[in-house]
Amino acid sequence: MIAKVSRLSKTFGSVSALDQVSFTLEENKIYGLLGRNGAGKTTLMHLLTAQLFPTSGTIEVFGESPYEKRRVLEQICFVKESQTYVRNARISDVMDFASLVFPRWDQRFARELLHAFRLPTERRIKQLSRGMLSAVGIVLGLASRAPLTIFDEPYLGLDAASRTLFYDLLLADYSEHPRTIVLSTHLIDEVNRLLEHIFIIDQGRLILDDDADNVRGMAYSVSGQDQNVSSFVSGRRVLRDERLGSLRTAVVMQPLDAGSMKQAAELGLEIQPVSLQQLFVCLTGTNSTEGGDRP
Amino acid sequence: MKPVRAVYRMYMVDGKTSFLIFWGILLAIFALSSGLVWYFSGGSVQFSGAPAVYIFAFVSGIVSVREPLYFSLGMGVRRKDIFAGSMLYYVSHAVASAVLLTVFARLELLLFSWRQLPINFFANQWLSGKPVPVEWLFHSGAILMLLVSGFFLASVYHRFGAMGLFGLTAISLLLGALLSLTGGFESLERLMGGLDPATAIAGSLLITIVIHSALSYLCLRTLSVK
Repeated sequence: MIAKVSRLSKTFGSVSALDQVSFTLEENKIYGLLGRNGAGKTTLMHLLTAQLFPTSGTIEVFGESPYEKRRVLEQICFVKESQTYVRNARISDVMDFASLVFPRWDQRFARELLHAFRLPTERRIKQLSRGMLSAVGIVLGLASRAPLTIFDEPYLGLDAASRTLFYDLLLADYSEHPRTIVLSTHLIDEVNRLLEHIFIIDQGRLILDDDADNVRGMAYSVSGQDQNVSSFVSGRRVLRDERLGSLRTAVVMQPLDAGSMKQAAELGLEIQPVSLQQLFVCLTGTNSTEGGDRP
Repeated sequence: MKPVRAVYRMYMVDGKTSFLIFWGILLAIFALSSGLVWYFSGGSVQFSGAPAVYIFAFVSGIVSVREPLYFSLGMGVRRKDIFAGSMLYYVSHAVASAVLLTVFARLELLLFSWRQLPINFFANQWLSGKPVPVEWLFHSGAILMLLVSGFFLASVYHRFGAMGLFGLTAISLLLGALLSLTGGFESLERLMGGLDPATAIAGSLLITIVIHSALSYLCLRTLSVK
């Protein structure tokens, strides 16, 4: 096990950023940490890397508390969108810094990545565009080869081509050098294929912690005549419900089984799979109802 | 000690430019002042280089912290290593500044006593009579003390915010008032008067450096990201 978090809470004054969060991170897996803005994702990652102190609860990374433990910290690389850089430093200075901090740093791979992202190594940080700065973070995260690598919105300002390059490089390097990767993002559909396990955090609470394959089959949408849909969803957990005239579409939180498919066919309803992004919106957007009938 | 080296190098990268610009300006002022004194004979330039170096050291101590500190913390460097890297940088900064100050003071004495020009830009009367190592040591200690004091103020600010600085001011005023009421200042004066000036100055610098370093370390130990 890479990390174990138990009943972790963090408050800032009267604001609760995290509330009784518990989970574990296993070795060599890619985790997706999803949540809306202000849900507590970055706070959680700051706590995991001992850059913040918990209000209550415990964090163990590589078997011990990460606070001031070099053995632990040198095995974690946390790349965040809001990372402060030394503005006068050149990209080559940042790479030199990383080579001293991360014991598994691969200088050759770093050079390849800099070339792939077209980053001029002698340019100063203050002269970089937002996208180039994100690319610097990506190079740090990948070339560090840290056993626990955390990316928090790593591609702000990156164009679609560079993002695709990142996903491809991540997958290729992960298959050669398996490690635990936590990817926090809002571009859910883009990273969907990468993720093996998913955490969804909402208003400081962990509302979903499951394998990606289970999550992908966790919900489906059913649409048809209002009366028939009502009959179908009765007793089932409905995450989202939309009506247009006499037509109704409901997102049902339940694995689709043969019985349900048969019932839907009898009622003339159409069943569609729900994407991870749709599921995320349903889980974090509005309150779900039991039985389908909304007030 | 690789992370300490990494932090130190990042400070050097960040501080190098401002250090060179400052010394460039200072030497330009020196050259201009000397030229004017030489051209319009009768004028004089008095001790102003060293105070400028001291003020620069204090300001550097305050402003040099932010980016290397948060960058290193974000990259997973221990606070202990960040502190050690910072101190290493301040010692190098103090030593380098003191070497430059001492060398220019001695050059100034050599060159301008030869030309009979009344210029004491880097040199000062009190230190000029002392051996070179003593002059260098004095400048090193004073510059280090100012750098560390600046670092201490920055650490308080980064740890506790603006309220921390207000609190620190309040505590300092309270301590000052207490010392004044209890006759603490007189006792301190008597203690210093009993020592030879060199010991008194060295002792004061050392105590200030140690206290400010220790307090800075305590602030950094519990520092969080913003």
